[in-house]
Amino acid sequence: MASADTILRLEALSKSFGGLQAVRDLSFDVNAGTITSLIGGNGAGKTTAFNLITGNLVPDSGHIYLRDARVDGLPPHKVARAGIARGFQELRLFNRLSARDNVEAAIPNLRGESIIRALIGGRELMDERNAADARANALLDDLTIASQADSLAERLSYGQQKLLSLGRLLAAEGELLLLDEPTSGLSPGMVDDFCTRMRRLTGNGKTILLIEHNVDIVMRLSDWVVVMHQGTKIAEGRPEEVRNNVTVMHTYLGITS
Amino acid sequence: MSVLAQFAVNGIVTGSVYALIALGFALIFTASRVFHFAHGGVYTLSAFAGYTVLVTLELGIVAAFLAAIVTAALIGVLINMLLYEPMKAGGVSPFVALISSFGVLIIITHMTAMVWGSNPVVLSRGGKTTVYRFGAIYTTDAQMLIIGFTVILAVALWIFFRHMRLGIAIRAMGNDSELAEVVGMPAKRLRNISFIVGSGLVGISAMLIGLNVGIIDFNMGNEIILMATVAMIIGGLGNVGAAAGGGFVLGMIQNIAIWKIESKWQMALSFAILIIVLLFKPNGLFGEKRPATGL
Repeated sequence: MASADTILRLEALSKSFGGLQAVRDLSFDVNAGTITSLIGGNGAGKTTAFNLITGNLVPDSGHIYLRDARVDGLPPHKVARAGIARGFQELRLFNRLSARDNVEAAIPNLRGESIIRALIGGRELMDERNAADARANALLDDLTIASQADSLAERLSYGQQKLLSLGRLLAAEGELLLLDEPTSGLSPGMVDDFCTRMRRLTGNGKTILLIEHNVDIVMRLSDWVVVMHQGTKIAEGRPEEVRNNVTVMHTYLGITS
Repeated sequence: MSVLAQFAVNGIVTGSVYALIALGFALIFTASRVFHFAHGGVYTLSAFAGYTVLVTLELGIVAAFLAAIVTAALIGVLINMLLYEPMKAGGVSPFVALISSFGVLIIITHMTAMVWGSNPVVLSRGGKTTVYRFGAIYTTDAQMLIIGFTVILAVALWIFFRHMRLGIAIRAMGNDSELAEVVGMPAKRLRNISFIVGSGLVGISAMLIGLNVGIIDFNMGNEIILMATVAMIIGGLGNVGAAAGGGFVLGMIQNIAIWKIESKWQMALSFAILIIVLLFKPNGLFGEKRPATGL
């Protein structure tokens, strides 16, 4: 079905809300270890595409494959467990939990999740809990917010919250990260920091599917770019190919000459 | 003065049980966002299950507690699975869920009267009450049991919510259930677990109060669910620890007030406290200065 290095395949996805066709016949592949950007104006259907991939929406037609397994129609928590970790455009954190608990909440498949095991887990459960603590601490440390580990998430600064939501994403151990404008609202220094981190992640075996409005970041970071307009894909290719694509220039980049 | 001290001890006893009940009620509310009035019915049923095992079948106090806990957990989780979850899936508003829950409370109350009769029954271990005396203050073994249970459960629950993954997951879901699902948490299962734990707590409380008062009747759940509601609101909505604190404060005030106010005014007094607290601290005694999430 999918070629060896294809991690995600969208096949003829369609979704409409009432009379509005939000996504129409959308197909593209995401190759493992790459950064693929999904670009397009407001209402192009990018976020709907994300919602379809993560199971928050069920497609009217079409299929989604993660590796060779179909994931369309699965509920969100099963898609997450299958290996797709999703970040939100707006900051979404467990505000009333500590930074460390935010990260730990996303670590998959620990024994402590069953009530029976929680009651009779004993030593093993403690070890597991300590390992989860260590993993969360390491992630927070790498994100330079270790000093805030015990603070409630809502007490963190905006930039720290952005980093924390990335930490939560990484804790989920998904192979594929779906990032929806991860750099929005960040200072230029932090944007650079985020770009470096994303590039390093693909070096460590992660794959990133990115929604991004900032064309500079898209051109700098992407291995592959998919351009959407009014629910359909109008172009895809390497960044420089897309930049030189006449249709894209007209409809998205606003270059008319 | 010694009279006041005695009332204070009674207050600690009542406050401890209210704390347990309010905690279970708040746990269910936090996880599922349902105002689970039927909790009062679960309380009544578990007391009668304990009564049947202790008095009718004479199987002993431990078996009676186990029967009460298992009955409560089972009925609680069944109400969630058969009533609230289908409603949630069907997009029914929380208000409708609240009224349905109230209906379940009434049904359970009447069914209890049908099965066990409408007269109060005596819940005791056959007159084997021991009274302890500390200076001028008297306590019974049932009261010691209550305080002991509460301390142990408070520590256990603190560890559960702070240090166990399941507890953290439930807190996370109470905070933002959609995000919890995206992060990979099985929301439905976590809600069921909350109902099991919250109902189990009310099962223990029903036995403790029943043994302390000495009699139980089919109506006992109606008053207690009002107390749990008052406790949760004066403590602070959406926070399990605050609800427990609210329960404790309510029990204390109710009992100390007996010093000056006749006990028949207890219910009116409780709601007066509720109104006064809300006037001065709209978010509850221990709540944050912000609206509770998701309400």
